[in-house]
Amino acid sequence: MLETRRHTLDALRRGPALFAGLPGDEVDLDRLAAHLARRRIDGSIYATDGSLEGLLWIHQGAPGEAWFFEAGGQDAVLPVTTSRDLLLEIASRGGRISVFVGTPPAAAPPVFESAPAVFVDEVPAATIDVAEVSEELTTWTPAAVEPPAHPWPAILAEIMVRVVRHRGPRLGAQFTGALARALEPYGGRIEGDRVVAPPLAESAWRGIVEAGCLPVVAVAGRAFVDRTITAAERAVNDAGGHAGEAL
Amino acid sequence: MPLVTVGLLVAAAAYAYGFEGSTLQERLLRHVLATVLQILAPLVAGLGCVAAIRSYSPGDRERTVWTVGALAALAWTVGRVVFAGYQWMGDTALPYPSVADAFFVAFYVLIAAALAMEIRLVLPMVERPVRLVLLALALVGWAVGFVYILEPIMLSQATAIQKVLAVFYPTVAVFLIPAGLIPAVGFRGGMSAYPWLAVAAAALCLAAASLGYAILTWYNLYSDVHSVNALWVAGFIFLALGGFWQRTVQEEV
Repeated sequence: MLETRRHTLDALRRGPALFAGLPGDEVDLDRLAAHLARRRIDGSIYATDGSLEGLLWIHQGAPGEAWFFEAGGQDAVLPVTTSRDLLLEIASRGGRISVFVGTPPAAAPPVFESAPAVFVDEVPAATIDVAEVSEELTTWTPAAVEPPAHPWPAILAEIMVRVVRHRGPRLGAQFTGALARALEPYGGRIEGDRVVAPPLAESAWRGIVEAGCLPVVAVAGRAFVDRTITAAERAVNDAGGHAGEAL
Repeated sequence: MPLVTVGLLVAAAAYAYGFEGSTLQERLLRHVLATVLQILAPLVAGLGCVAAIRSYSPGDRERTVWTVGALAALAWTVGRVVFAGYQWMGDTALPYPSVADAFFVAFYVLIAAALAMEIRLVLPMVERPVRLVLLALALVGWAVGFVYILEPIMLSQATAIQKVLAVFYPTVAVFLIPAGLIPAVGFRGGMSAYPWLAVAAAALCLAAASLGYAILTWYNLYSDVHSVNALWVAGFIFLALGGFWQRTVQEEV
């Protein structure tokens, strides 16, 4: 089981990141969690200080189970009630925080039967029996890959056109660069003005869109990006065509 | 509606600064109109900035840029109200320097801060040679303005505050021109370049007006209805157009 989780973590770290290597003591974890909740992100918050690594799974923006790895290989899976404190502890020791999006294709994150909507601190970290909660590992089942609800390759191709038209080719190039990097771990790519990708889960696509749009959000703002995505989707649906394709 | 407002401002400015007026009533009307225009133009520019703000979400960086721009326009509006107060109630023909200058200085500081924030966002999209050329043009423009307009003031018996203000206004305004052009260059090829071209045009008008104001006040030639005032109005009209245009561009995706 340990090998599987380490494998998943490694695959995850090679995937698209919303943020990577942020100084832990400069990140407001609660605000970060609130942001991810608003965006309904599927992914994870990862923190490491060199001797300890922590990974908190995020499902539709809500924090779920957390994995912790010590340098010696000891690991534990803790409920969300303690994960915030432990992540904060890692961060406060000069750690770095990253946010990964989507589910790595090689492995699936645990399924949460009822993920809490927000961080809660009802149980102090010191009262948690690590060995006891580790037994919960045996109840894990692989996550089912849900089909995408939107024709994302075509929508992304339409977004490319609109970003260039409104903000010029330079920001358009930054968008396509970020999009290409987000697609790469999933085997996707950009060919000219087309987005080509294998069948992916909706959550993976949302992570790719989020990561690809980051340079545009930074300059033009979230409202512009949200409107562009909506308009691109409407245009694709109205046209009934496909600017992108599946592998 | 914004275009109608801008059109009315242009028509009023053409009358106030473009016609002599033969009767006393006509001349009085021109003075009143000129004073009102100097207050209305920055107010409309502020409304343009507010319109742009409304096309963003809280937390968007460009929203902060336009918010600071709106505050700058408000500062200038207040400055012009104070300036007019000195003239119409304080019986001071040319209140310079005065408390109004504090608001004018605040305007330039705020508008420079707003442009600096925007430049920080777009700088990676502007090639280094382009940046250097823009900086060089600003330096040359400032040097020419200094030698021909500001140097005589610096070498005169003017008070220290007059000298500082005479240098400050045109200097900041001249460097605002490339500052406004950098976002336009960064977004060139896209519709968002045009609002920033309007902002750069606003900076150009304000720079020319500042230089004109400095030299006219020094030689005691400035008046409310002098045609140099048309440059202030034009500057704020361009700023207003930039704001309204940005709103349109942001929402028409």
